[in-house]
Amino acid sequence: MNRSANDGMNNLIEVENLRVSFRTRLGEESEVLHGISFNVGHEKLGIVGESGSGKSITARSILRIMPPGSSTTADSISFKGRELTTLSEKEMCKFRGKHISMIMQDPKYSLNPTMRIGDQIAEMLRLHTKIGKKEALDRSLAALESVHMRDPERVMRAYPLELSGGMGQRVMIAMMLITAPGLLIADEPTSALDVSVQLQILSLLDELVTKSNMGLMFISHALHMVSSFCDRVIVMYKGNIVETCAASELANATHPYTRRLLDATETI
Amino acid sequence: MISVRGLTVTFTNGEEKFVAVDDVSFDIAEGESFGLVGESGSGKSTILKAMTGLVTSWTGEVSINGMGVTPNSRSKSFCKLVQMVFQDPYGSLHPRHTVHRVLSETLAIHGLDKSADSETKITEVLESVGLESAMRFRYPHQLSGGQRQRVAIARAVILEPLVLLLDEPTSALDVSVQAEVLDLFEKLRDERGLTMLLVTHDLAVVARMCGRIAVMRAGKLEEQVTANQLRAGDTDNAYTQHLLVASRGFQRSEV
Amino acid sequence: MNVKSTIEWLVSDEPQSARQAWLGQLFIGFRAFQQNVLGMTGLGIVLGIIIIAALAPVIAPYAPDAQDLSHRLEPSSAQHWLGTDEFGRDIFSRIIYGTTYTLQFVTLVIVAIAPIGLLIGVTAAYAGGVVDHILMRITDIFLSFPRLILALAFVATLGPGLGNAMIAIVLTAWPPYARVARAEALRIRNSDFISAAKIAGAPPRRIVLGHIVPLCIPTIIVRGSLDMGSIILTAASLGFLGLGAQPPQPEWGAMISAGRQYFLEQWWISTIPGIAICIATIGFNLLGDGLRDVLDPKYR
Repeated sequence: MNRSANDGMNNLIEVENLRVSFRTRLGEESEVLHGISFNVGHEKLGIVGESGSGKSITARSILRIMPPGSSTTADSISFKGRELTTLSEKEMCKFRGKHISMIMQDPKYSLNPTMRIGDQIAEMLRLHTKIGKKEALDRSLAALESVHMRDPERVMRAYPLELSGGMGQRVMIAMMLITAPGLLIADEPTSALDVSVQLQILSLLDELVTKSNMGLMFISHALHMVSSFCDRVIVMYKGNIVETCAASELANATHPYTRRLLDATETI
Repeated sequence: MISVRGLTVTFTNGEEKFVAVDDVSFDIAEGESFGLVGESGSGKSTILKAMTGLVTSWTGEVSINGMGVTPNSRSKSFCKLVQMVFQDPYGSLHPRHTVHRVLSETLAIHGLDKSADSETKITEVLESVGLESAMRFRYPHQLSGGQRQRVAIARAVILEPLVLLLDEPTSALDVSVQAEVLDLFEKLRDERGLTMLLVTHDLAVVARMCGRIAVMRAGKLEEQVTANQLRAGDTDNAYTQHLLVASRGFQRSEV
Repeated sequence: MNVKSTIEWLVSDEPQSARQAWLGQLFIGFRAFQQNVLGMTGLGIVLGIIIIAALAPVIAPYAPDAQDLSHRLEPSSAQHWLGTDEFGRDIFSRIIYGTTYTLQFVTLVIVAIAPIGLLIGVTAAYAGGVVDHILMRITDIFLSFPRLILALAFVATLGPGLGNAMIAIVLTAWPPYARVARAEALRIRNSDFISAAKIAGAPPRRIVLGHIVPLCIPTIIVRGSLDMGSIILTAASLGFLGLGAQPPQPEWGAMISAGRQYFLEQWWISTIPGIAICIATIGFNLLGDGLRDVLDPKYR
């Protein structure tokens, strides 16, 4: 299982010189991402860093889901050779979810509490493809089965409130993968879950990503999880990429910051 | 120092009854650090809330330093004996109170603010939790997560309690900050001879901090092990084994 | 002390005293408010009204009740900038003096209702149970009447007059404040910092007054400043119906009412006070919106 896709030709997404700055309440500009460049192939790329390192901002600025008061510039963000920086907001809207999907930390806040699960997944599908309601619902059920949801028929009719954290995250994954995107961004997808559920979600992501040969950007603060789960790791610190290495090599990392992180991590 | 016998916490919601903690017993010796681990919903935090009277619907016998604890017994002498540090340093400090106010108010409640040494007390406690005096008049939003947690710890130790209850004190912090805060707890424990009860979901943290560990699941105590047993995986309990495997990271073969 | 060093002192990362820290927060809040153009416009209008009210005797060319029957119902002229009314009184002067009535009225009403609402709401939330039920049902009863109708009923029993109109509005305007304060206090009551205060041994009084109430105050201020516009309108409505200010008091609502019968020929008698009410209401609403953007965390 060694998919070393990082040979330059196979890159799904290439990011050149990405900068993000925010306006503070006093009206000053402060840069939080200082011109980073990286690419993601058909692989599991881990992005690790502590809070304020800019790891989530990186993902959000690619999809242009940024809070008001922020400004993003980049020399280039290209997805399968298609330039994203020049897309209009309308084109970007169609692009998001279809080619690149994103899973957030807490499914509680990502699912609409007033809609049944089945309807939510079906709606996602119908936003991006022209199919009937019946077919969309059938495919939603199939999607829930593909994420190994127990009792998928019941979950289709359930409201988000009735699901546990792990089930909610499975629903999110089903929803985000139903359009068969080329790249999945997972922003701390397991941080809100119990350890034993974390592993189930990780193995599910692993299975689906491998099967459909897509790329995964896995954002996390947990070093040991990233090093055991991903193929390649980017370490971020204060808006810069300080180290990039194969996940298996992370334990031998040389950058002082990475070393400090490794030393600080409690292990058992 | 702490003795808990048959602690049972029941929440009632209309007709429905939910037993959050089911007949839990344990003892903690003076100066010992005891860990409670478990996943969400296991009732580990509820035990702390029951002991401090934040949750009152419980039965059983709890005594701390020979002092009997009942659901509504939170007195000023109890507060000077037992203090608690919460999980979320963003939520456990009043957003409009400065560091100084947080500490001086705690002293004022116990009538210690009038004495001449209240000023030195605040200075000392700030120093012992590793906060510079420049932080003294800052508001929580002007502090980092780690600094806030240090303020919360300062508030807990300024009354010089014998027992410190820790509810996931590092799980909202970055790894490098977590290490510093754990160091601080160890330092305070050694300096003041504190008895600590640490509640966490993180096996690595509990194995570092505590000598003995109780594993909880769905309101019940699964088993008690020593930290060395836990590290060596020396347990027959399937649930503890399962948690251990899960804590060691992702391995495709084992899932 | 020059301006630059004062600002540096205010925004210092290492304040030396509680007062400096507090003033610094106030300054940063004001800076944020300054960015809000509409809010600043509202503040400008409100400050303008306050200045006009304070300097009324200086600005106004005539006394508000000085009659000049030989010049009644005159349109705008060099002597009477905004014309005269049916008794030959100068409308410009009456508008200027009217600001004092309006300002006194809203200030007294807000000063009376905000603490009542705050106290009832926070007590209900913190005590919970039976106390909560009783207090909130009383609130509901007052809420279920339309404000103007209830105020009318009160004035009808108490008798017309500015003072009674004020009492009537106070009695009818507090329930929303209690509601808002209760909702806010319920959210705060379950925070960790309240638990921490309990474990530190803080008695209920200290928790309510020292911890919960200060966090409810911004919401109440916002609510109050947004409400001032509608209080001005209610006061004017009562004045218009003859139940508020009594002649010859130069209250804007009463002035509109008095000009009613001359409206087709001498439209300015009613229109000018109408415009004044409109400007004052807009001013308070803009100020309230601006304050909400700064104070209310939900809108940040």
